[in-house]
Amino acid sequence: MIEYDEREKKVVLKLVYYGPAMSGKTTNLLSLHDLIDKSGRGDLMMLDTADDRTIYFDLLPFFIACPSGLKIKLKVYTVPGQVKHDSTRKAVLTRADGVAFIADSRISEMHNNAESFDNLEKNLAFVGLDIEKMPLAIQFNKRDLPDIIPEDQVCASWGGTGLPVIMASALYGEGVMETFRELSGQTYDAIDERLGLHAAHGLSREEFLGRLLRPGRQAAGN
Amino acid sequence: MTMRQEREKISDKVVGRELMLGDLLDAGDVTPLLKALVAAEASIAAITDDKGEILWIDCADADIGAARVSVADYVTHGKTAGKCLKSAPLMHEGEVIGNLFICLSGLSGTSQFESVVPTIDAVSAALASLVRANSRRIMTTEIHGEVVNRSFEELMESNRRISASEKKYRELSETLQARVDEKTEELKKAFTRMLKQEKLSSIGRLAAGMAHEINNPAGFISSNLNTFSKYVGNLGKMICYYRSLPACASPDTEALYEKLKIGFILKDTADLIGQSAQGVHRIKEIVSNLKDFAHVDDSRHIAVDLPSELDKALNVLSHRIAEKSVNVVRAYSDVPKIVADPADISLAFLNILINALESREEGLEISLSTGLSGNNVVVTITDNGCGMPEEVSSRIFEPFFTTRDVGRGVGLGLTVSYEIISAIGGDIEVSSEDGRGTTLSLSFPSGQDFK
Repeated sequence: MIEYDEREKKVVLKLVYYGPAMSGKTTNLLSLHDLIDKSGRGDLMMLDTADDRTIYFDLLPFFIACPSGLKIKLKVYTVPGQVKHDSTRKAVLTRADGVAFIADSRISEMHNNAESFDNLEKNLAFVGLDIEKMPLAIQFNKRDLPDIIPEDQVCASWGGTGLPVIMASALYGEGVMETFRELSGQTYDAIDERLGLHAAHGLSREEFLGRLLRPGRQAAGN
Repeated sequence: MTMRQEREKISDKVVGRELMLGDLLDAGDVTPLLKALVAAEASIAAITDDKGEILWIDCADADIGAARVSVADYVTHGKTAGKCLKSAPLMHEGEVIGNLFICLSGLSGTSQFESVVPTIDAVSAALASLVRANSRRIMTTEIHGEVVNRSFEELMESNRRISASEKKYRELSETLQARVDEKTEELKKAFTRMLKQEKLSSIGRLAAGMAHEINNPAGFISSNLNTFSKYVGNLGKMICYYRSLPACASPDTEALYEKLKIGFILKDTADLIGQSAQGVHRIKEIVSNLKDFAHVDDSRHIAVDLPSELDKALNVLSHRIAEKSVNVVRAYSDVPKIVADPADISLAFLNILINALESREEGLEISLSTGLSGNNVVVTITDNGCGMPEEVSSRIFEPFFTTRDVGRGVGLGLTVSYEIISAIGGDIEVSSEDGRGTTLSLSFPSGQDFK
């Protein structure tokens, strides 16, 4: 949680899209931006990129006002995937409320996925967060490509962890909303009791997710 | 910097902190735009933050105070008396973070607004793009600063670690020579001790072997002498019988008897045989002492009776004790046995006794006593010899320290004794006065089980 100001009645939450370089973290945010109605969200802010690779981060902000007047700001970040930007990843990960791990489904990328996940565990510990308690969704992206690890194999290796695994093709907007819904839902569950979102502020889980994931007019028309 | 401190430092500037309108715009950006609105017939142009506070304001007449009141009125009531005000929201991250207020001087209303709408739109768009650009700039600067800071601190930290380990290695290399010397010295001593002990144990084995070899011939010499003594007795009796027979009695016989000194021979033969038997007995004693001393059959660390070990050591030295007519005084009291290797203990006593024997040529007296002191068995060995000054007595256990002439001693005897006794948890104390004799007190932890 970035901040919780009771006097100002404002909560700022942070979700982070983590994963190896070029796995489609920014593409996920671009898709979300396209799929979600602009009434509840801000613009996607992409800080500088070099050769299509994120250097700092991308940011897609959402804004919800509860019936009680509590304002919830949800900031969704990507991190730079390249190994050399570890300091940036640590900085972005600080005070995160939830993490979506975007894995690259190609067989050739399995090693990078594993390394990046280790890095996530290490950096969460570094910034004082417990991966066991952290809302966490796993997305296997790029299902549209050839030479990918089969879905049953993914499920077999991740099934034991109890983590939700979502198959996606972010470039075509598939699995993107599902991933975001899963992560946001877990995040709501994690903070509901502490902040009394439902009890004190009248914001139910369904309402929270409905407001966040309101489809854009274009998407709704299809 | 510890990880926690570092973490706390990050949280001051956590990525994602909320930016307010006051952070995103400054007077330099805003003032020209408000002036442009006033120039385009607005009587008041103002910007408020998300709580309705006026951040920047400009107006056509000089009465800023009145203008502020009008805007505040509008913020509170949604309208203001006698004036027509309009507002346009300023957005950031999907959220209204402030408002732009325009008041027109006339009261004609809508139509008048329409004429300035393009200007208002242009100013709104300019403000929106300023907000966007500035938020981008601020976020980039912040994350960049954060990353640079962190990298710098990581570098400083690794530099500190490298310096620390470098310092450690430097210290190590400085003391290395001294430590090598020290260890070399220790090794040298240990090696010498080992050689000495090895030599002594070879001597012991040799002695044991010799003792065994000598025992057999000494045995049959002793047994034959016994028989020989009987034979010679019988022969003597036979000669005396022949001599008493009348048939044999003649002057020639008597003459030969006298010439050959048969009478003396018959008497002396018994003496000779008796002395030989004594000699053989002495050989057997020496051999038995040698065997005892070498402890050929003993296993290590058994119950050892200290008085009998003292006696064995004295036996080994008995010829030198006899040679110098040493008066040995034994004052043994009943003491428990100790646990040790008897061969080692013999050796320790032997070395000390050899030193005592060297301490005086004539009139030497050596007193031996055993006793108890607390849980320790104490053996004291006192001589009335030459004694030694403090500077010598403080060094007698040092390896290679000797007061004897070159070639007469290597200076290891007492070192070996000391090592043996300290190895089983005992101790040796020296008290000596130059010219007035020496006392060594040896204390041994008693083996309670063997009492």
